[in-house]
Amino acid sequence: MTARITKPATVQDLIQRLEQFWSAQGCVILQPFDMEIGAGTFHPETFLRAIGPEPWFAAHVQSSRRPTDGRYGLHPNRGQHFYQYQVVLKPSPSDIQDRYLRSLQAIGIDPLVHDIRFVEDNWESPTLGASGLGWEVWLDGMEITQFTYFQQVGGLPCQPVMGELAYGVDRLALYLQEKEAFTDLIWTKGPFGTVTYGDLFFQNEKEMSAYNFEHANTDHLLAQFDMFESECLALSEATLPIPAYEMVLKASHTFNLLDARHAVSVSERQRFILRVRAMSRAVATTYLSVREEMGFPLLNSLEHPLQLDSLSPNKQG
Amino acid sequence: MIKKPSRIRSNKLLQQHASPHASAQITREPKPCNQPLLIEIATEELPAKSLVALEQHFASLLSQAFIEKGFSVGNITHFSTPRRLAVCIADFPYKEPDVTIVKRGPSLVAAYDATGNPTPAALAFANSVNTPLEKLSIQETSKGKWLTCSTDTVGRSITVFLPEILTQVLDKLPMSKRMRWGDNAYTFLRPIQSITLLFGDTPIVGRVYGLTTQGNIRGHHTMHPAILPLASPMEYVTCLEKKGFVIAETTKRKQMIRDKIATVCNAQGMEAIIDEQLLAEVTGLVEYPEILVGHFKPEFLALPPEVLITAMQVHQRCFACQDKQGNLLPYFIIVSNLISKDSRTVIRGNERVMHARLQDAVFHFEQDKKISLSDHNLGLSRIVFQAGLGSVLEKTRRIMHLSHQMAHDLGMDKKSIQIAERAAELCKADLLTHMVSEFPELQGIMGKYYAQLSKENDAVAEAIEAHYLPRFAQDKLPSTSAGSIVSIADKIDSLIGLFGIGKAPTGDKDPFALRRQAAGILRICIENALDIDLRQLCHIARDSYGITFSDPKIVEKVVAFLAERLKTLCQEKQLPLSIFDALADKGISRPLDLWKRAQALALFLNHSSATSVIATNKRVKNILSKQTIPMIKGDTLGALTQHIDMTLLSDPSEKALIEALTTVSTTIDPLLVNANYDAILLELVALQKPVDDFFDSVMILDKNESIKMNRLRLLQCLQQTFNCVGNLGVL
Repeated sequence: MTARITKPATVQDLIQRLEQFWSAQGCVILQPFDMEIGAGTFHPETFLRAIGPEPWFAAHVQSSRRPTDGRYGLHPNRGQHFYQYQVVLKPSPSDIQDRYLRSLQAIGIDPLVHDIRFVEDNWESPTLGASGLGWEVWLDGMEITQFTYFQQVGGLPCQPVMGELAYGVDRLALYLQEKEAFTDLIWTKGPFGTVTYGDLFFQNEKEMSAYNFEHANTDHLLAQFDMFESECLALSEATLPIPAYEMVLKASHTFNLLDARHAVSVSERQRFILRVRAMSRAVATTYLSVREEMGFPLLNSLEHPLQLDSLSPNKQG
Repeated sequence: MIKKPSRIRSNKLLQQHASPHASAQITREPKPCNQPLLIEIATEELPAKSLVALEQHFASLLSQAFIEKGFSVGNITHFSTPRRLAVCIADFPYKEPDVTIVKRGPSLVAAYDATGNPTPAALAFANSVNTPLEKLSIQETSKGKWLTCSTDTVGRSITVFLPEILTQVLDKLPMSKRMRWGDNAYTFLRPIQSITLLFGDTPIVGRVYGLTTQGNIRGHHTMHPAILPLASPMEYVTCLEKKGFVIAETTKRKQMIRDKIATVCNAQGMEAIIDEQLLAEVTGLVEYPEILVGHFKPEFLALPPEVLITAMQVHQRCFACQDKQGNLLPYFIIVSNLISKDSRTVIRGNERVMHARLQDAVFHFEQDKKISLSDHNLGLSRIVFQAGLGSVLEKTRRIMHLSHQMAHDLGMDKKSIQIAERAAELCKADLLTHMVSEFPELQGIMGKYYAQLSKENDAVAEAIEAHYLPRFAQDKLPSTSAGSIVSIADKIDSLIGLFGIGKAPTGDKDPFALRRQAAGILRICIENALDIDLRQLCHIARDSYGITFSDPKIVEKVVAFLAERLKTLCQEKQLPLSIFDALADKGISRPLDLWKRAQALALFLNHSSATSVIATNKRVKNILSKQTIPMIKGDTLGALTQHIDMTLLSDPSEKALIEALTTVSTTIDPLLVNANYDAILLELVALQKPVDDFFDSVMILDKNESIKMNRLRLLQCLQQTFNCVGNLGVL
């Protein structure tokens, strides 16, 4: 085992360590996506790159929004905004679990001290028409990562399979800094003083919760949803999958806001989900055909990791 | 489908670490004798809940495949951990058996002509078996001599057939959901890391699922990730345990957990609540169980025990602890997968999570308690029960109405009716509490607590919890009448409504679990002895919706659906299906009554006279079925005999029969009122002899039309009596 590595003392340090680690692994280090999304999975560099035969290796921090989880900043570990560290490896390397464990070592979590468990978790995103199998990773009983092998995205089967690691940055930081409430987390500590997560986000949580639960104008949101939907389908039709996908994201977030406002009943909820899914599927199919037309450029420009177990079997037609 | 270029270049982008199977393998032939064999599939963490079944299927499919090959391999020992499936066979053949295949051609007579030259038939045969004529042999049988060709096939070596068999078995292995990984087309429950085939001291090198099989195994994922040298398959278990920190035997691992928990608890004078399902699951979550004890603040014990237990068992996969009196203690048992260099850290981590969960629960509990349960009810108007079927609030109003009707019809007193009605009114109120949105599995249970805290009658509180029962096939039933009534009302309402909007189950699709709900209704009626007329209830339920369903036949469809469920229930209780057919014309309307009849018929079938009574009844049925006369009617069986004209009876056997029939039917009538079907069927036995005598002595179809009609009426009378419990003619 490698020498014991100290724990990152700040959220900033934690993110940097993960960046360093995955950069050294050969990942493209991306920046967070600049739209409201519910999780790293929605980042186009995950959703779209999971489609088709091209390899892809990327990592980035992603600010994520789940309006219904807002608690006005009063809940110790739940908020409408949080950070994920998203890593995608396609095709998933055969030693992906070991790489993951080494990434934990890089942030000071020694697998010989901590009880790390891979607990079955089958993931499904009805809005993305996506599903995968894998685990939630437990660190001494706390879920710190969603580990997923994508099987389907936008209704299309994934081949090769993208492996996705979504670290819960805030949760990991709570654990590493031994803090009870996210507001107490130290974001950074330097010559200008200490900045906490609370300094950065408490007001945001409070105001955004008020917006999400009380002020969001549901009539406008409903109208917007319809508009995003028609834009999305028109853009797919026009074989512009990337802007079409942005419309999916806008529609998805609009739906989440409506949900937080209790503006959709149970049955309508299902209908909204199906509408977003139809958009995702349209985008996925369009994206695939566009990439195919381009000759799947990353197949040629990116090296494919040689994996002994990845040789295609004879039975594959 | 997209074809990707087959080009695979060496990796520069990703720094590739030595893969477990990258080391060079030396292929050598094993010693030519029977030896022990180890097959191990090393995987990433398999789902804990599927592990035991997977292990057993793996062993039995392999065993089956070996038997098909003609091997006798004796006992197969099998193993599973979260990261491996394995079998060991003490005595395994090094090759397939040699076989000689003999193909028979034309007879010798037909093979050569008189001059001794081969005929075209002989030449054609030689050609077909691809062997020169002179190399063919002659086989002599009792029927003559034949030209034959025998081919000796030497059995293939283990290095050839074993990878082949293993691939087939892996393909066939049943699993809930197969997945793909990386860039290969193989599928398994979770990615396969490596495959070990060790025969004696020789690794069998072959290709299985895109991997090169080899002879090494590895230990615990983090405590012993390196290769474990294994001299023989027989050392597998001990080597893993002593050096690799892996307990390969599931039963042993489970027992270890049980024992270690007991030891730790005894030391602290407490006992763990061992939920067997949880124990099985954690056994599938660890390769090397270590037991640790966590602690939480005693203040949390003020939470309802179900909340604490759910948080510990369901959310954290930990065991709860109690004192000798059964009171929960502020401790929990962690089954970890590691001998930690610092187990305090592991405990502290678990305690932090538990604390956060329980803190949450307290917060929710306090929030919920601020308003009474009946006030929580108001929000139910916002929750849609189903599109087109209104809100949950409207559903509870219908449940109230149905509960009131049922309680009234069952003859319950005023107070009990009120209790059932109040329980119905509040049965869904907890859906909007914080606690239930956090712990959905506590629906009903939280309702009970909040009802108690809101000073509702205890019976109301109990019924709120019980109305969700039974939640699965073998689950317990509501123990009070109010609980039973509200449970039935809720389920009937769902059945009618969902059938009404065309959401009846189809094929194996039953998204609303309507089959389970129907079975629940029937079980409550039968096992809790509630004589409820379901057809009548369905009508009330339909009318309660206050909307017109487009399908005018929904009540009949729901009744037929319930009948189908009852049939399944009968099968589950090992009742012969013919009994169900015998009751077909009694209708399903009152399941309790139908059940009593079925039980009585089943018991009667074992009676010594059953066969002859049934045969006699069939004879009656056969005669009557050829006649077209209107069926006689009477309010009671006794009343039926009044249709017989006594003056037309001439034969003594005829008189004896009507006498016996009168006696029997007057005995049966009060038994029918009391649904004492066992006794009724025994009474019927008394009729058999008079009927047989009657058939022996008289011609039914007498020339005299009046006598004939009278005798037929007598038979009708007899038939209705015979069939008053169930149609004996179809048994």
